[in-house]
Amino acid sequence: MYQYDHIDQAIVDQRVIQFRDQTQRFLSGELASEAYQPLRLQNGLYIQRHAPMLRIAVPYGTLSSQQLRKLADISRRYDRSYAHVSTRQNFQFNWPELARVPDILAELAGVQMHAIQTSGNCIRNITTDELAGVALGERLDPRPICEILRQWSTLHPEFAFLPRKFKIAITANPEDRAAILAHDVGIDLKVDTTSAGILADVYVGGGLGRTPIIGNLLKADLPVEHLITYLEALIRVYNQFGRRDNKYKARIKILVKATGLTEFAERVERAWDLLKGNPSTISAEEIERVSAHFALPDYRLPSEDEVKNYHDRLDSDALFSRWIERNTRRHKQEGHRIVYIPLKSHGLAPGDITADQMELVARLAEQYGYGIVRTTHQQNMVLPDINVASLYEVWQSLQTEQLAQPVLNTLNDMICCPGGDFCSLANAKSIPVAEAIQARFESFDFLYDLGPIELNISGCMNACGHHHIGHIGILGVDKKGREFFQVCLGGRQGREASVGKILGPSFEQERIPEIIEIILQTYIEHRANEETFIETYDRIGIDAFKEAVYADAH
Amino acid sequence: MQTLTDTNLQIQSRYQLNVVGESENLILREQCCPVTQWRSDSEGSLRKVLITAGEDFSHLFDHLASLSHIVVEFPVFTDGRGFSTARELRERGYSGNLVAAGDFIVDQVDYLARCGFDTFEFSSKSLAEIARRKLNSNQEVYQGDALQPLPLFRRRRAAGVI
Repeated sequence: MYQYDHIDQAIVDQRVIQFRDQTQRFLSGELASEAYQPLRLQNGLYIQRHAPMLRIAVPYGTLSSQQLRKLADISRRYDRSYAHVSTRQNFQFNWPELARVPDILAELAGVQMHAIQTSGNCIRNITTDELAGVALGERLDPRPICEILRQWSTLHPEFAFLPRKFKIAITANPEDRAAILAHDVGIDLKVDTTSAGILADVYVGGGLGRTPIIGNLLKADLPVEHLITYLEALIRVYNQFGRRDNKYKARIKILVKATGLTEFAERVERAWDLLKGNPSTISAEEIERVSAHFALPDYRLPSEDEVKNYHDRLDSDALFSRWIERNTRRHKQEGHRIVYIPLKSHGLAPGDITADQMELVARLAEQYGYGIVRTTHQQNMVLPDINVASLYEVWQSLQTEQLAQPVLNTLNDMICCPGGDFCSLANAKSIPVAEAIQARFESFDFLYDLGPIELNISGCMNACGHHHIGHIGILGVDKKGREFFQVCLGGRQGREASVGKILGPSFEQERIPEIIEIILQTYIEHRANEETFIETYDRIGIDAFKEAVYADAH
Repeated sequence: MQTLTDTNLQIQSRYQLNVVGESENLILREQCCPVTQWRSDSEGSLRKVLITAGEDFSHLFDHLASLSHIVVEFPVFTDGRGFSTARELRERGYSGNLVAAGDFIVDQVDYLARCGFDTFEFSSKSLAEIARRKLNSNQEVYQGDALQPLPLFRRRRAAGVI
C-alpha cells in the first residue's frame, strides 16, 4: 500500500497542529461556534447526540495491520473500546472527548492516517472496489489512481466550501462493488486496447439522500492523465452554479438535473478548455511512482501437501467447508483466497467492531495476510490475500471473536446507519430494527435458502444506510413524534443500479420483523426454480408483495 | 462598512500579499464598479470592479489587463464561489490586485491566497496579525495553485525527492 514520504507526513502533521490551534481557540471562546463548525467538520468531527463523533479516513478502504492496531489502541484509550465501519469504508469513533481529538489526530498521524475531509462540504474520502488488486476480472488495479486523486483532493484550496459534500467512487472491474452510480462522481477505469494507456468513463450526479438519482455518463474514454484537470473543471462548475439556498437541493445531482446533462457537459468542457494540459495533468512518472507502492505481494504458492491438507479439511469438516463457501472468494492468484469478515455479530450494531476484534484481525493480517486489511461498502472487513495453507487457522482464530459467522451476502449481512441511538439527524433508531431482524432469522438453513438478499436500513432521509438501493430497504420516518418505518423493494446497486419502490404506508418498529417475514414468504411462494429474491421481484412486481403485506387492511 | 485599523502588512511571495486594514490603501467598495454594471467601453475610467458571489463576470475576460483591482465579496464565509472566481481570473491572466472582502474568516486565508487573492480586508488588527502568521507559515501542499503552478508530484520530481 502507499507509504508516506516526508512531504506526505508533513502535510498531515501540519494539519494536526492547525486543528489543535483551532480547537484551542474554540474552547477558549476566541473562535465562534459557527466558524469552528466547518473547520471541525473538515477534520471529521461531528457533534452528535451524546458526544462528538470522529470519522477517520481509510483511503479507498485499505489499512495496514499497524494502522488497525492503532485504531484498536485509540478506541481503548480515548473511546469505549469499539469502532464503527461506515458504508464509505471509513472508521468512526462515537465517544471521543472534544478536547482530546487533536491528540487522537496526532496518534493517527503517527501511523500515516488522518480525518481530513471525512465530512463537511468538500471532496470526501475516495472509495473503491474492496477487492481492488485481487479480484478476478479486474481490468486494472484502481488503487494508484485512487491515491493520486486522494493527494489531489486533500486540502484542495478551491473546493473546501462547496455547496454540499462531494463523493467520488472508482472501480476498474465489470462487477461494480463501489456503487459508482450512487456517487456525485463515479469513475470507471479501463485499458485502452490500442495504446495500453488507461481511460476513464466519468459518471456524474448519482446519489441517495432525499432525492435518490442514478448517475449518468458525462464523459467517455477520458485519457487518465486528464483526470485531475477534468475533475477540477467539473467541480468548478458545481462550485459556481450549484444551489446554496437549500441544503437538500445542493448536491450536484440537482444541478445536473436542472441544467440538463448535455448543457452541463458543455459547461464542463468550456471550463476544462482553460485547464486542459496544465501542469496538473498527471504524468506517466507519477503513475509509475504511485503504482510501485501497490506492487503485488510476493505470493508463495502452497505446497502439494498443503493443498491436499486443505482439501481433506474441506471434505471432513462441514463447518469449515461452509465458511469457505460462504465467507471466502476466489483470488486471482492461485493458491490464495479472499477472506471476508462480516461485522454483523449478535449484540453489536452492523459495522461495529470491538478493540479485541480489531487486534485479532490485525494479528491475522500480519501473520497470514501480508499485513493488509480492507474495509467494505457493506460494512465488513476483508483479509485479501490468504494462502490456502493458512485458511483453517484463520477460520479457527476468527471464531474466537465471533468473526466467522457464515452470513456474508445473506439477509443478515445488512447495511445499517448508526441511527437515532447516536446520530442527531436521525428520525428513528435503526440498530434495534437490525437486531430484531437478525434475531428473527437466525437459522442458517433459512438464510441460505433465501439466497442473496441485500437489506439496507437508514434512520432518516439522509440515507446513510443506503435503503434506496437495497433489495429490501427500510427507512425511519417521524410520524407525529413517533418512530415509524417505511419499506421499499426492488432497489439494487452495481451497474444495474436502481432505486427501490415504496411498498405502502409505514409501520411501527415492532411490526418490522413480521413485515419482512411476509415479504420473504411471498418471495418463497412465487419463486421459480433458482430465482433470487430480486429476480422474482422483477418478474412479479411490487403488487404481489403489497397485497400480502397489507392484506389485513382490506 | 467595517471599522478598520491602520494595519498594512506585506508578505513577500509570488504576489504581494497585503493584509489591509484602515489605511489609504484600502479599496473602498464605493470606488468599484459593480460587475453587473461594468461595460468594456468604460475602459480606463473604471479600473476597479466588485464581484459578489453568483454574479456573471465573463464579460471581464477580454479586458483583464485594463483592470487594477477586482474585489470579490463573500456574502457568508461558507459560500465558496469566490475561491473559484479568483482561480479563474488568475488562470485567465489577471495580474492586478485581487481583494477578498466581506464575510470570509481568518482560517481561510491560506486557501484564498492559493486561489490568487493578494489582498485581504479584515475588521481588526488582531485578525490581520493571525492572517499574516498564517500566510507566512509556508505549508506543504499537494496541488498546483495560483502561487505555485506545479503540483507536488512535479515538484517532487524536480527536487529529486523520489
